[in-house]
Amino acid sequence: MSERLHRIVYCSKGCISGGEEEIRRELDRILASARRNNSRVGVTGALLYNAECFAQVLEGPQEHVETIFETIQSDVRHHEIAVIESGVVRDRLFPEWSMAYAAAGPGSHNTQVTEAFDAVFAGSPEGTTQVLSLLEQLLANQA
Amino acid sequence: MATANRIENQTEIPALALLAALNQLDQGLILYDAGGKLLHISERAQELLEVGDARPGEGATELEVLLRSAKRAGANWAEALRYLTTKEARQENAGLEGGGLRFRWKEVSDGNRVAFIENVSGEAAESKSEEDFLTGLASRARFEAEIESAMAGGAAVSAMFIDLDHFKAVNDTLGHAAGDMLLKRVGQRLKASIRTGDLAARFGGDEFALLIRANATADDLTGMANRIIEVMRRSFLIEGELTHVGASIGIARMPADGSDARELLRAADLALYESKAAGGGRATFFEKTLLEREQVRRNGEMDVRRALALRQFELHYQPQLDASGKLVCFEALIRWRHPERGLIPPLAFLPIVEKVGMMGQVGEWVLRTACAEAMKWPDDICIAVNVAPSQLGNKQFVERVRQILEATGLPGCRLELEITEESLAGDPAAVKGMLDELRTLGISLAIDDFGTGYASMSQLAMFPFDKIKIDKSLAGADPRERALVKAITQLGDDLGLSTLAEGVESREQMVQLHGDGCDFLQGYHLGRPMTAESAALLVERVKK
Repeated sequence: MSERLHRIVYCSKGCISGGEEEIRRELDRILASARRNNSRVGVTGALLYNAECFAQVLEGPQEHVETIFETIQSDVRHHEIAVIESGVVRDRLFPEWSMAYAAAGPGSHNTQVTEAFDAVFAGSPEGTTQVLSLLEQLLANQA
Repeated sequence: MATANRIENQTEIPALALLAALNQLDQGLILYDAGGKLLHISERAQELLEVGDARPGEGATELEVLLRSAKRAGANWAEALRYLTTKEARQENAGLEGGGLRFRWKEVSDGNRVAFIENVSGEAAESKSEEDFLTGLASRARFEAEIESAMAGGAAVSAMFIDLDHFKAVNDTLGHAAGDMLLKRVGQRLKASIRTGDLAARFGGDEFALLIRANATADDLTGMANRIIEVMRRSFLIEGELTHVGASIGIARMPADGSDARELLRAADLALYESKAAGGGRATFFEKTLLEREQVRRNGEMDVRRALALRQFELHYQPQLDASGKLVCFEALIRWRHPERGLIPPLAFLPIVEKVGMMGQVGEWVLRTACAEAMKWPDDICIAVNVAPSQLGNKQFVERVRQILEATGLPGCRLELEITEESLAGDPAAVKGMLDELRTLGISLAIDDFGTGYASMSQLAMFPFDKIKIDKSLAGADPRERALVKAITQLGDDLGLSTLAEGVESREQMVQLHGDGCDFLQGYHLGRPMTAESAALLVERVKK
């Protein structure tokens, strides 16, 4: 492909909250719209949700990644957004998924993931590595 | 075929005849390519725009340079035209109006565009653009009209002024196209942060405004402002680069803070100024005390102008001695002999001078006066003069220094300029170029207050300094300070730089700093700052 691939990974806090049922509905809505919009423009990625925080990977043509990312950034429902990775990449991490979804575990609460998110929001570089490897791990387990 | 035939015939019309025909049109025409390079400007276009003498460097493209020189193009036109050469603009077919002219453009072929300029001053009595061309938000004109009409309806409206922090840095590092993209996105984020019924506007540059029509409490407004600050603080992804700005906000409410649009906006602007002055990234409500503070600021500026005109500034000179105790140099220090407040030290007024943008003028006065004074001393005594960061920011600085040396007759080798680390922070390449030029005039350069700022050792190697002035905070007896001073003098030795210790206030300190390897010493123990007359007397005394 001649077009440059861009990947951005960010974590968001407080965007989705409420009861279990509410959270599930909101996540379904986000995933459905992401899958619908992303596949149209060649953007793939993954979403990891855990205890009111989520991490999202967006990868694809720079222009479209920028547009999708900007839509997310202008959403006032996010309380805090931390970008943990952004740059040109050679290959996609999730080539098969318009938006893969990784559930963190039963009841959507996993201590390991919580700790990783806490590290990200505290500005620790280890948090980034942890979130990325958790994403890949959880998706591999689900596959 | 008939069509082909017609086109073929047309291309045979001599170009000059075609141009003459174009000049008969009531509309002015500008033909330019995708990069903003001018292909043709009709005489009528030049006439309508009142094109003046374009100065090079006034725009990124030829089209921009042309519009900036035009008397009748609105202030935002050059900016607008920059946008016209972007990718998105290609699909649009918009226009802009200002100064009684209307400007529309169309793509003709191969990315080439033709712009039509019409005189509309007769139409619709100075019709003003309702919309900001770049962001699609309301224009200033519409914003003000909306405030007036809301007020006429008796609504208690509020206004916010929003100004981006660090926007200039984005423009400077990523370029104007990225800057425009950022402004567009800021506009989108702003729109997403407000309630329906409120109005977002862009006044130009990175200035945005909000009109809150509904009755909003102070808490509502605080919440809204904080949300906007939060959203603007988030990363922007522009042309693949993660970019960050911030927002500062000023808030004013009707009727308490103003009774018409002009007053309300002025109140919001003053509140914004407070947010900026406090470091940005915050919101401030207008208060009556801000008016007083502005008055003080204005008085400050008037005072500085008056001080220069009435010669209320004066220089004092503090001796610098070498290790053997010989007088080698004086540092010129500015004082303000205020008619009511007495002698004011520099730290109490230089920030005001800087704020009102008069550091260049004051700095030149200091340099000229100090050089002239030094001419009265023997050849082996130098003069050290402080240079403010904003002075180095002026590209004319080296030339001004050269002129002052020439005018006073002082040889460059008797002048030392003291430069703080802060001055090196801006554009290192530009600053280095300037310092190199100053050295070719024979001037020596000292890095001032070393050990206080972000003192990076690499700066010593990167910039062409001759001397390190070690800050007085390191003149104490604390063993850690001693270790630092020794390290700095050692570093100076290795890099071939001399060292001067400031703040020598006792005999003990003198012995100690001398022992630590400092080549030169300065401080109260060796001589306080003194008037020009006292300095002249001291010079006479040591000569004997």
